[in-house]
Amino acid sequence: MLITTTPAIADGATTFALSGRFDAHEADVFRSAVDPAIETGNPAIDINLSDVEFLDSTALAELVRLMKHCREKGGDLRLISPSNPVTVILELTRLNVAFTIV
Amino acid sequence: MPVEPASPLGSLTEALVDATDQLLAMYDIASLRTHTLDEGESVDHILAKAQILLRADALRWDPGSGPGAESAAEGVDAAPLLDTAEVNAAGRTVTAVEVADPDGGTATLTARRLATPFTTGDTKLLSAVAHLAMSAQHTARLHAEAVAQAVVAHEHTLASQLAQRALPVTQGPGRPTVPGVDWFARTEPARLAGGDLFTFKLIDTTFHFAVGDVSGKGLPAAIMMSNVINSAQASFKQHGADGPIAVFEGIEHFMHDPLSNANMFVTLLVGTYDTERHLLSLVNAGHSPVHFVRDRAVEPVPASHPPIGVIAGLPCARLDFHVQPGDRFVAASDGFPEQTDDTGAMFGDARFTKALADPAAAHDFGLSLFDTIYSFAGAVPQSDDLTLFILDFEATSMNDLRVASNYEALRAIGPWLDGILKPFDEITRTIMQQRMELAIQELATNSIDHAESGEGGLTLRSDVNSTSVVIELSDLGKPVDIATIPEPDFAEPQVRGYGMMIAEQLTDDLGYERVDQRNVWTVRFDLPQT
Repeated sequence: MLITTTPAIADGATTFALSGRFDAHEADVFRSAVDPAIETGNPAIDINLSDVEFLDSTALAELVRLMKHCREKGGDLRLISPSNPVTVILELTRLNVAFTIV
Repeated sequence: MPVEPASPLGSLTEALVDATDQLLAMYDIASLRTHTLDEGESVDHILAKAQILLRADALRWDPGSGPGAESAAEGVDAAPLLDTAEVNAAGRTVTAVEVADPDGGTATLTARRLATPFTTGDTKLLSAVAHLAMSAQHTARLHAEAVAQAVVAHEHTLASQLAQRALPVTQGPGRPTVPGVDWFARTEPARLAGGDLFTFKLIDTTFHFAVGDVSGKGLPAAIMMSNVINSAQASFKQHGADGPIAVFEGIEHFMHDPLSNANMFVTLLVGTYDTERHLLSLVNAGHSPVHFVRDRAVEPVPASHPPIGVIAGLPCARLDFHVQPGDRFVAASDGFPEQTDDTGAMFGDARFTKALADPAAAHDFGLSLFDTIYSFAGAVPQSDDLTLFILDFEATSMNDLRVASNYEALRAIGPWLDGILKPFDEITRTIMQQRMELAIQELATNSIDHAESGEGGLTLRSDVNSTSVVIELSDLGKPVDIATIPEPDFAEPQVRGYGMMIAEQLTDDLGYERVDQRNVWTVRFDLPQT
């Protein structure tokens, strides 16, 4: 999985664009990429999922964990343009209503 | 001071009391039960009663041999008992009897009393007491020896069990799944423990193994056997990447001196099977019987080195076999051909070799060969350790996939499904591939996380028909209790618990059963209607 990070401008969100496969094997990589952005004090995160080809429940759990973390700190996590495989799993788990999807 | 003569009534009373004491003492001796098995205590008890019986003022027991020291009736200094001058001066009389000790030598019982001489009857009584004391002494010694032997036997049993535990488990989570190989391994020592051994280790895509037989039998051979296994495991890890010669030399480096110094040796077969190149490579240090079977033709694998412990540092040759589906490799111990029946005839090499062409699968064949030997032996005890190690090389096909139990290895599932779905049109492939891969990924992740499938890996099998694709996923992990898998709470986003729900929603049927220590998940995906 490739993660491209775009730092926040002013009070905007930090954006992470993911591409390829986001599965259990990538969970640690994802966590170590995004967690520092919240710890530095900006709890607004955008995750661009338009180029994600595969996403499993372990990866989904990482997104849920991140969303909760952002909201606890007064911010939010937005899922940007989820691809079809991502949309399918969000709908299967009914998490499409829990996330902010743009 | 003058001694008053005793009155007739007093003398009679005294005699009656004495007679009663003697009767009681005789009763005590006659009804003596072994209330103690301590040698000194039991003899003292007899002497105390005998002293009353004999009206002696001192008794002295010289056991003659064995661990017991001289024993005397309580309150009497036994040392001057036999001092003739002192005896005469004090008007004492002494008598002694000898009794043979079953452990060798002679014991002596000596009695002393004032004034009244010992009669012939007293001497016979003394002799009877001496025999009784000897009997008690001997019983106590036998008991002490029995206790000592029982302690040694118990420790021997524990040591034997510990040595046998060096052998690896062949069932359950510890059993490695070797891609393309159906394997069997079992050893049965002739005694509590033996010198036969097998061990193995799957490292990446290479299966390392060793089969051997330490000279001698019982616990001494078993202790050396466990050392050989530990050396082999260390050498697999340290030298495995360099092939079986390097592994063998590593084991020889560790084991030659200990074996040679103990005047022992081990016949050892060391092998590696490269599951990707289908290459079986062997080093045979004097082990037999070892055979390679192809198309029911059985070929012996010759020794390429002397046994370890005989001569160190000799070069050894490596034997390579490029295996084909249906090939079989067997390494056994000489206990099989050398087992005798009740006429003294051996099972023999010819019968053993012929049995190897049995087409049954490795596990069934292995068990049946043990049964064959036991039937042949009949009532004759197993004469030597029996060890059997079988590799059956399976026909591999695109229908099967074996992956290690880690997340990265699961990425082989997608390309495998591509191959299975290749016969279908593009639309069907697209629809099926996405949901099949996600469902199987969830089950496989569950297997790694919850069943702890570990070293055994995951096995996937497919069955494609005109209406559906059925995938069977199995592992050797812990049993799964489906009833305890929680349903996610949709009111509150969660970080766990979605995997099984996703798999259930993406499949048309999902079943689980526990079969032969394996978790087996069977999922059906119906093909889209055209």
